[in-house]
Amino acid sequence: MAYKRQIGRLPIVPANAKVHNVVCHYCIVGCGYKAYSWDARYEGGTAPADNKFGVDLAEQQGADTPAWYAPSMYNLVRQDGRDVHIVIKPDQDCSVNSGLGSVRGARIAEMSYSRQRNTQLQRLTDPLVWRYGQLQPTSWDDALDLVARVTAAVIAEQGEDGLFVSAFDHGGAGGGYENTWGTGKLYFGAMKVKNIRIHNRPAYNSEVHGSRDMGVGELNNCYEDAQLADTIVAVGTNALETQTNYFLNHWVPNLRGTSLDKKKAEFGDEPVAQGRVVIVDPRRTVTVNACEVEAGKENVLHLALNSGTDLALFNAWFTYAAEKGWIDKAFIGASTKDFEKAVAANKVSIAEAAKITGLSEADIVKAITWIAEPKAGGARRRAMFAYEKGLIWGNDNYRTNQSLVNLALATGNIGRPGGGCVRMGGHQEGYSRPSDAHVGRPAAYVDKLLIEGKGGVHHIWGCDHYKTTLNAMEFKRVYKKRTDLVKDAMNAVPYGDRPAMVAAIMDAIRKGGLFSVDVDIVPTKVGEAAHVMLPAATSGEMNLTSMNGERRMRLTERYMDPPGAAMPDCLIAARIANHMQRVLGEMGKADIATKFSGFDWKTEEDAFMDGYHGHEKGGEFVTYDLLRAMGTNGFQEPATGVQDGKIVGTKRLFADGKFNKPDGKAVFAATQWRGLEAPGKQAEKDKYPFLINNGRANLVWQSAYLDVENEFVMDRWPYPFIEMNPKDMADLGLKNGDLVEVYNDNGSTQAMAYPTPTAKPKQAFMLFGYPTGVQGNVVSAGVNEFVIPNYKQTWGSIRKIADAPKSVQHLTFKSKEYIS
Amino acid sequence: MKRCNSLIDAGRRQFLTGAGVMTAGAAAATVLPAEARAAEPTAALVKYPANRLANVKDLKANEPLDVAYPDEDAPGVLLKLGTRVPGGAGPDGDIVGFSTVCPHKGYPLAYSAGDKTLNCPGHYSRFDCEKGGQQVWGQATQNLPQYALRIDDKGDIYAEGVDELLYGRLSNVL
Repeated sequence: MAYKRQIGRLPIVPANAKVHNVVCHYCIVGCGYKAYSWDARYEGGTAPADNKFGVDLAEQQGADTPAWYAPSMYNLVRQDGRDVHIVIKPDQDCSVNSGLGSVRGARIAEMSYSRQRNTQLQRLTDPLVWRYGQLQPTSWDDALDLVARVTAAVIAEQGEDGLFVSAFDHGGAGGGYENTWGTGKLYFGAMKVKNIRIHNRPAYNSEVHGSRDMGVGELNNCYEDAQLADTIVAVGTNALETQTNYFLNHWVPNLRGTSLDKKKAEFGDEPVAQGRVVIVDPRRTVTVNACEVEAGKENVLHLALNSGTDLALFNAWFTYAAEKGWIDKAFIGASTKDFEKAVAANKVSIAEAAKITGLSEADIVKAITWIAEPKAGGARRRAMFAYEKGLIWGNDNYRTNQSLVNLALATGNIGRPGGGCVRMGGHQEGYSRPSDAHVGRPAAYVDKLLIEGKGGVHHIWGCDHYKTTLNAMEFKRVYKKRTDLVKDAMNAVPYGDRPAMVAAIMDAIRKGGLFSVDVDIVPTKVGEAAHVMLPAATSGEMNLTSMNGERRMRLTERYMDPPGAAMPDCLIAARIANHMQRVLGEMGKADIATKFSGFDWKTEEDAFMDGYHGHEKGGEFVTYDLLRAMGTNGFQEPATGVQDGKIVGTKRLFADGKFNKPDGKAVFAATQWRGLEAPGKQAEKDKYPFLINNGRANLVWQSAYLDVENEFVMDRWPYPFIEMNPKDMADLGLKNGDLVEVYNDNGSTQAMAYPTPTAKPKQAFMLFGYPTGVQGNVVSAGVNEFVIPNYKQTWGSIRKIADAPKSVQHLTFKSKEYIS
Repeated sequence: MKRCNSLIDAGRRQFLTGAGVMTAGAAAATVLPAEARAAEPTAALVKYPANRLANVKDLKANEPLDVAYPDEDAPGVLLKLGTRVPGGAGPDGDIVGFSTVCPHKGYPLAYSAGDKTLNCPGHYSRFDCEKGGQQVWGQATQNLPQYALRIDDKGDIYAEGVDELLYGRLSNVL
């Protein structure tokens, strides 16, 4: 039977409950929520005067009511040392989600640490150190002393290149301005660490170098543009699952035609109509289905192209639009450079594109007609280009990204209402760090260096390589071996003898060992290898600022206490710096020690003022007080001033036609098609029968690290699904839910077979980054020229391992597509 | 979301005028004898009524019957699925009952006889009636509230509880 909570009643939010601003910390959309909290001994009543909503709760409430919350939106937590009830529910007044809750965000409360209700007891509560053969609790000072001594000793022997770092660099639970600044000031300010990588990829690089190098920042529009566009072009983005409320609240009104009044108000006499959508994705997703339901099949064009051939398609569109004159000549002349060069370099005919992509010529032409053919009266057609991991983690990332931006620029669709060429994003953003210029480009391929035995100490911040990297099986094999060397050395020394302990660790490092320090909120998979684990606070247990996919910056207020001794990451970084300074002083390295000054922050607000407020563009206008007053709507970065007590923001970037280049002109790029670009991919394709496409799922999008302890989620996905064509399943003798092994020369992993009639034969789709079956195990080490991983183009074989286990037998295996 | 708002209104009207709906009060008067009541365990926060929703003869295989439980403001459905399912009641173990208010945002679910799922037109959530209301895919943070059913020797079908919180009320019994 499906999991049921057996909850028939919830405590009522009393009229005098405290209210805090909350922005969902899971995905980039950053939906607005409110946290209501009140003393555990009380509750409100059903009479309007007795509850926060002012309505009669003895009556059934209607659809979309703000006066209801699900059991997942409720918990009992600690706040300022006292037990309180808490309800965290979507905010009706937030323009991002207008009261919609996603299946992730609507579980924020349930996924909070509660000893009273036994939720998220996996959370780390104390610093842990490797002692007597296992991780044991200790004090902050003890743990940080060990970290500082080993780190300083490694740097003394190997230089700063001996310190490897894996660090979050996003917003929400993936960082936030306070925490990226704290870690950034430590590694890029006090030190100049070069061997650093980001949480989901093996180097310290942008995933959209291509767009940025053309002068086009990648988050350049606003969510309202999806309501205003004539045509939305969705490339490798499954927005219903991974931008849920952006899709539901802003794309759907356009597809339904309910944003027509908004279009008329914005565009005056310009002809407007219900929106159309072009979806470029080898797989039919639930997004395609929802678009068809809302817009009608006649307004949806799903281009299920051959995996990795997007570049040829975009070049053909670009060529066709240029030939037809479906371009914005005035804009190209005033705001760009090298258009003609790009036209000459990127020439691809419709017929050539059809051959490469496997699409019909008619569909390719139909799509570019929807995108670029002038409207009646000659008005420019407004197209919004949205792309994500299908492109970013796909073949030839850099050029493919640029070829799409080429088209958006040529058609005058950047900086204009109803336009934009934007990545859709994963986590919120929240990057504030000293310059990373010393890292260089291409950045160091950190995972590869670790596998090769480089480095002596590894600091990990909110990353889990065992789950979310490429070539993950090999990485894990080597990483375990190297960290085990150090563990064995530590086991041979009394813990209380610090000099002997550090000497033993250093000796093991010289023999190829690696000392691993893991800062996280939960015991991660890579944490199995750690010698020190440091417990961090998450969003809501600290004040945290971030911006969403339309650069909307908000402050999530601290509404509960962190578990045990856990601290905000920025303060952990500061305390590491303090200890480094002390230890380096003791070592007689006063000149180096002095670089670790400026970390006397007491609160996360101190880090915010030092970082974002002091260093970011427009940061001087932004304070906690102002953000608090602006609630869940905040403002759109960059800030340009303060008016009437409100921060003034920027609705769209590049609205003035000036781009991020010294002369303000965006540069068209030459982006010739060159087949499967990453080393080894073509050979892998030739050798193995199945495309092992991979990606995310609604239920666990950016929340899987907590979902592993959520009954509702683990009941549905005890193992990662692999969607397969039913005939392929029959050929392999597979029944619903059978466990399969996916394997190739890179490694092997497991998944649960999910019959999917819309899946093309020999094209499987596996859930990415899941703890009970890591897709990255079978992804090769091949990357692009800037060390961007190529997860999507993976080929392998599939075979049955076992019948569906007990935890799978009660599951539904019906189609995920809505039936009207 | 205008379309969906009108849908819920339509769904409600349909339910309120539907036949075969017993009110909570009418059913409560006719349930258990005194000694059974004495042995009854204490209710877990909510005391559910035992309401007669229909008779097995009212059900046709794979055709939804509109009902309401635990009161007339809580629309639901009874289904005779035609195949035995976990938690199914009746001689064939195939009778199930569910709330038809989507636990995500409260829109009325529609039954798809083709694959025996309940589907939400608001945000595309789907629930499998053959798997205890498990959300196949969707936005709700709970599986579909299912009725605890009892069928007496006359074939009368009683609902006696619900296993999840119903949308739009902070107590399943108002």
